[in-house]
Amino acid sequence: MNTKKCTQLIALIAISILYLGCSDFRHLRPPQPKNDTWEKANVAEIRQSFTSHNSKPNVRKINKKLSLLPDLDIPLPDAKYKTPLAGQNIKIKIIGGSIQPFPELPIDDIIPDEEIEVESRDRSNITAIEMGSYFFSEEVGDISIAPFGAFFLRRTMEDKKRRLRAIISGLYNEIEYTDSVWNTNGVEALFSFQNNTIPLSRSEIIEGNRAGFTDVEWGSVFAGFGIGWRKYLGNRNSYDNYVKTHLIYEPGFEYNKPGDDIGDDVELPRDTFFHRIRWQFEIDLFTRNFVELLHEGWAFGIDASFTHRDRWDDHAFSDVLQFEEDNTRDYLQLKGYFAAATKVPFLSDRHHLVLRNHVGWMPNKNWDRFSALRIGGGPSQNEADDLSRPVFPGANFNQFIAERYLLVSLEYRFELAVFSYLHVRGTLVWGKFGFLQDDEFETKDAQTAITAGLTTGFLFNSLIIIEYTFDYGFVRQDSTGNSLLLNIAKSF
Amino acid sequence: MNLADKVVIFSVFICCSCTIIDSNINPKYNASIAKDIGKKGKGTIKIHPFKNETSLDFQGSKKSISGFATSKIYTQFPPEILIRDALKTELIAMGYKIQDNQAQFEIFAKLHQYFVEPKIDLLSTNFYGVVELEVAIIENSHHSSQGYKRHFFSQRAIYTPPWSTSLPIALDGIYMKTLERTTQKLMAKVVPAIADLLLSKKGKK
Repeated sequence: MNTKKCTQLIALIAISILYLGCSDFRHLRPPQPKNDTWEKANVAEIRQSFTSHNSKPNVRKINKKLSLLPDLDIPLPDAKYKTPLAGQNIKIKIIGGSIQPFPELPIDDIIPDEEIEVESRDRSNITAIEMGSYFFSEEVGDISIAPFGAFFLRRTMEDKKRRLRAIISGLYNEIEYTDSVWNTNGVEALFSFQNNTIPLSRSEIIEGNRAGFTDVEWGSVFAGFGIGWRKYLGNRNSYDNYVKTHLIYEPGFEYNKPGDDIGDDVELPRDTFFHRIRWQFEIDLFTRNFVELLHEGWAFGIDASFTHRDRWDDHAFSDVLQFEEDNTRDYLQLKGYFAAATKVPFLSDRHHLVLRNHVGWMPNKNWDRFSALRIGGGPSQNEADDLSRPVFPGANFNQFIAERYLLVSLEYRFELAVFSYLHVRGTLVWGKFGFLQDDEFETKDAQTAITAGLTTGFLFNSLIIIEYTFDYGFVRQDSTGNSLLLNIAKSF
Repeated sequence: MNLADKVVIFSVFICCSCTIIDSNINPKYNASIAKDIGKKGKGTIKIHPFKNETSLDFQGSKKSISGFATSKIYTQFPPEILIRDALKTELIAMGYKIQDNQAQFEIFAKLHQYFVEPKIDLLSTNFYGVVELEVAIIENSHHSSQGYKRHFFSQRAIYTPPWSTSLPIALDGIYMKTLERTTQKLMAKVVPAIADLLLSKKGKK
C-alpha cells in the first residue's frame, strides 16, 4: 500500500470515527433526589444555604455514563396512513411520549405531541435554484467531478391557460411558453427557445476514457413555433395532470469548431442552419408526494422529429468513423417514455414502486455525432416536463451516443418521514452505443447499475438528493465504478 | 482525485461548517402558567436573588455532526435571573405583591442546572434542555417562621434532522427554543406547587 492510499485510509477511518462515534451528553446531569412534596426545613438553614455565595462553582462529578436512549412511543406504520401530496397543506405530527435520558428519572415526564403546520404551496408558480455535482470514482473520461446548476422558473397565468417554463443557466437555456387564452377548446400556441452554447470543447468518452481526438466545440441555438392542444385531467395536482400534443417548427443554427486536442485526420462539417418539424404527445396522470417525487399514477410520452440541414458535408473522426452527407444531412429521431408508480401491495402508503422506461431510435446510418440521441446521468425524473429525459444513473451528463436505446429502471422507495424518502433503484440499459466501434474499440450493448439514495426536505425550503450508484461496467466499460450525486434545490 | 478524497473534502467541509463560534442567546419567558391554572393569591412576597449552583459558567454546548463539542452557548443574562424573573412574573399574575420588607413569604431558590445540549443519533439530532431548581419558602408570622423546600426538575427535547447541528445560522434559535420550552415546563411545575403552598398557609391563618 503506498503512502497516498495509507493517507486516504487514515482519513477515512478518522472521518468514520467522527461521524459514527456516538455522542454523549457531557454536561447534563440527573436530578437530585426528587421530593414531590414540600418538606419542612429549618429557617436558619434556608437563610444560610440559599443566600451564601460560593466563589467557586459547585463542580459535580459524573460518576458513570448516562443512558440516554429516548424511549419514544413511535407507532408502527399505519396501514391507513396516507402520504401527503405535493402542495398540500399538512400538519406534521411529532410524536412525543415518555423520554428518559437518565435512568434515575421517573417516566412521568411526558413530552407532548406537537404539530407543525406546513402551509399549502402554489406549485404552478415556482422560482427555484438547483445545483449539485457528480463525483466519480474511478474517473469517467478524465473527469472526477461534474458540477451542474440552473435556475428554474415556472409560471402559470389566466387559469393555467398561459404557462411558462424556463431552465436558465446562461450557456444552456430552455424556455417554453404556451398560450391558449384566445380560445376555449384548449388549443394553444407554443413558443420556445433553446441554446446549448457552452464555449468549451468536448471529447467523447470511449471505453470510459476521454478520446482526445474527438475534441470539438459545438453547439446549437433554435427557436420553436407551434400549435397544439392541452386538456387538464383531474383536480388534484392538476397543474401536472394533462394530455397534450404539439406540432412545432424549430428553425435553428448549429456550429462546430475544432478543439485543441482534435486528431489530425478529423474532418468537420460546415456550420449550418437547420429546420426541424417536431411532434410531441404526452399524458401525465401522476400524483406527486410532498417532495415532488412520483407517487401514484402513470405517464406516457412520444417525441418524433425530422430535421433538415441547409448544408452539410461528409465528415469523419477517424478512418473507420465516417459520416456521409447523403445519410446524415436529414435525420429522424423517435423517442418515448412510460413511467408508473404504485404503492407496494399489502403494505402501507410509505412503500412505493416506481417504474421508468425510455426508448430512443434513429434509422441506421442516419445519425452523426451532432445529431445522435444521447443518454447520460443526472437526477431522477419527476417533474412532468422532465419525464422524457433518459437517465442512466452514475454516468456523466450526455455521456453516450446512442443509435437506439432502451432504459428500464425499477425503484423501491420508503417514506422515512413526510419530507424524507429512501430509495433503491436498479437500472438496465440496452442499445447500440458504438460511436467508435471497430476491432480496437468496443462498447457494451447491455449493462446494469444499482442506486441507493435519500431525498429529503431540508431547512429553508430546500430539497437535498444524495445518490450513490454502483455501475457494473457500462459507464467505464472495462471496469466497475462508483458515483455519488449530490443535488440541492431551493425554492423562493 | 478519487472518491475517497472527495469524501474527505466533503466531510471536512461539513465539519468546518458547523458552528465554532460561541453564541449569546436571550431566551424569553412568554408563558402564563398563573392564568392557566386560574389560582388567585393575595399577600406580599419577597423573592431573594436566586443562587446559581450550576457547575458550569456557560449554558449550552454546541456540537458538530460528529458529536464533539465545538463551542459554547451563553445566555445574555445569568440564568438565575431569567428563572427568577419568570417566577416573579407568574406570582404577580397570580395577584401577589412583591416587596422587599416585611413580606409574608420569602422565596429562595438554588439553580442546580440550566443547560441545553444536543444528542446526535444516526437519524436525528435531539436538543435536550434541562433546568433543575430547588425552591425554599419561609412563611413569616408574628410568632414564628416556618420553612419549606422542594426540588423541581424539568427537561424538554426538540427533535431535528441529524445535520441540524452543522447549520450555524439555525442553531442558536434551536438552543434558545429548547431552553424556553424547558423553562416553561419548569414553571408549569413550580408555579402550581408554590400557589398550593401559599394558599394553604393563608387558609390556616
